[in-house]
Amino acid sequence: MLTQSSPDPQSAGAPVAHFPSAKRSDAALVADAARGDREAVATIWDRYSKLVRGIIYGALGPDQAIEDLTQDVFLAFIRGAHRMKDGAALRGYLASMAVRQSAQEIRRRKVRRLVGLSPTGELPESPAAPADSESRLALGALFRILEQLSYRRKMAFILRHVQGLEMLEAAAALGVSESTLRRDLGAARSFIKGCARTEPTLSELIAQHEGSWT
Amino acid sequence: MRELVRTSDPIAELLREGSSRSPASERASREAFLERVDVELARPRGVPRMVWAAPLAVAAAILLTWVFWPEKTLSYEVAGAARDGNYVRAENTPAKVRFSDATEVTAAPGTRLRVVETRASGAQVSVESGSLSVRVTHTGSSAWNFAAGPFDVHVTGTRFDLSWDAAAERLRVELYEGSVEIGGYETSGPVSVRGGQLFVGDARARTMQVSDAAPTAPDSAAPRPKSEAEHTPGAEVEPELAQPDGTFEAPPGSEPSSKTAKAAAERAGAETAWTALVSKGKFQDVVSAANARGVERCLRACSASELGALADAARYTGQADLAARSLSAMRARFSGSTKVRAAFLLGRLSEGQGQLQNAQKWYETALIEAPSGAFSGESLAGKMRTVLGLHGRAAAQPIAREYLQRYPEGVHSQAAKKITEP
Repeated sequence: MLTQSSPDPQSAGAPVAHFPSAKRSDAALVADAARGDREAVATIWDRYSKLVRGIIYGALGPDQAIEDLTQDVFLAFIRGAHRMKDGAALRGYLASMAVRQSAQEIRRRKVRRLVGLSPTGELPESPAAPADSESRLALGALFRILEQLSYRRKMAFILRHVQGLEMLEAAAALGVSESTLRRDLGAARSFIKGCARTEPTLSELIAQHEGSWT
Repeated sequence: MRELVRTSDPIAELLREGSSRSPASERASREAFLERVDVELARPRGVPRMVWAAPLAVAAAILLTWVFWPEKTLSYEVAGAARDGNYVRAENTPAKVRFSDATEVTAAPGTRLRVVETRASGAQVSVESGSLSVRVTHTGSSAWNFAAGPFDVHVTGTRFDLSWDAAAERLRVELYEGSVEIGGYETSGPVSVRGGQLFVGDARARTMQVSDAAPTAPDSAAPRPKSEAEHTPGAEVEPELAQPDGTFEAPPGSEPSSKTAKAAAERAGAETAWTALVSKGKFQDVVSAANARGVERCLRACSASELGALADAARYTGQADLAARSLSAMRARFSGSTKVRAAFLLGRLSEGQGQLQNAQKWYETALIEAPSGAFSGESLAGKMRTVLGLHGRAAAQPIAREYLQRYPEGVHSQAAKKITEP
């Protein structure tokens, strides 16, 4: 589908047609972003910022740093877009960058904790509060459970079950084989399932959706 | 179709909702991002932004390299056995697989294993058959996996023996130090095994059992538990039968005629059930059983092993408050190693919640009550960590030196060495 980019191109006598940015392929957007096209970058943001933010949120939990880290992922993408050979793999590429960015942030906090800048390694800012108290309680319980998982297993669960990445995409983002990912997913899912049933707020939620966690 | 499945998953939906933002926040975020994009795009490509940026970058690179030095993947060498790629076959003599972080795996004659993957902070080893004696160097970030059949032993730093009977599909892990997590089946979560405990997993019977493999502490009055050979395959683990004074009575059946023996047998059944449920990863079942009995009543009247099982189940399911109450009840009602163990676990619990002062207090309590007990090494390491977090490296150094003096080969010795370094 073509749309007219000029307000009145016919009257201007120079009909110029552009494919709408929002409907262009990832590969085309990556190519344009690599050339410094602001509109392409904005479209990529519109398309994938929720995914990237969701991955970082899953890794860190509610945190004021999420927004900055999300933007950092896209800025890093812009800087490296010209090196990207397969623009069609943009989603997996951004997901893997989000996983790495989160891991780096966690490491930075560990270092901060080690050198005594902050006893807990947490940022001094207060975490962002979810909308309602019920959700806050349920999310708090869920993150307590997720914290007990290894980073890789947690991210396997976030990428595949929460963000819906394909197995291959999720495996590539984590740098593991599909079979390792499958094992991690099984272990993470059964652990979360077992623990969630002991948390009143979560068990109630699961009971309302009986069948989806069997 | 996949979308339908995804949206019906309540846990995933909860996380998606948690990360979502209002349209106004979305717009603000987009604008803020595009402002940064404008700055980024305005910067000349391939040209340093400022003249002094180069020396600054060098300094930053040195600093970053120091802080985030890229970790090299571990390497390993095999001694005393034929090696075919990553496959190791120990023939008539023991073979040693030595990793570059000083982790050592000794394979008994006849053992077959494969080093599936090496990482910066560990490796994945698949055991096809035979027995291993493993000593994993704890580096603070170490993560090792030993896979055998359906079992996956996740290790951060410890010393243990592992044997996998491929024909009988039976795994045995005897842990000497530290702790490991062993995963097995989809239907159960990972089982935690601590130093001094024995894990036996039977893939055919689909059972995972944990028992105390050795006397837990010099100050413990516990009888020496049964060896693996004495356990009936597939049978439940026999628990310690604790009395309110912390002593242990003879197993039911030793005096079958008395009324006491019958009561003990009934209590033993309940205790066996809770301990076994924890061993099988059915933590919620233990918490539910305690709720059904009445938590307050249980805290007042349950045996030491029941309270221990309840505390474990509560910890594993993230119910810190219930775990703390169970452990406090153990301390209030029992003495000896039970009391010390509860102090140590309260330290762990507090540390896990970031309450470092509390954690330090409990680790110190455990050390005062049993300076050379089974938990003394772990408690000293815990004290070292909490003091480091609370008061800095200088304050933690004497504790680290004490740890190295008492446990030069301990699982936390690497961390202690780092702290004592000038």
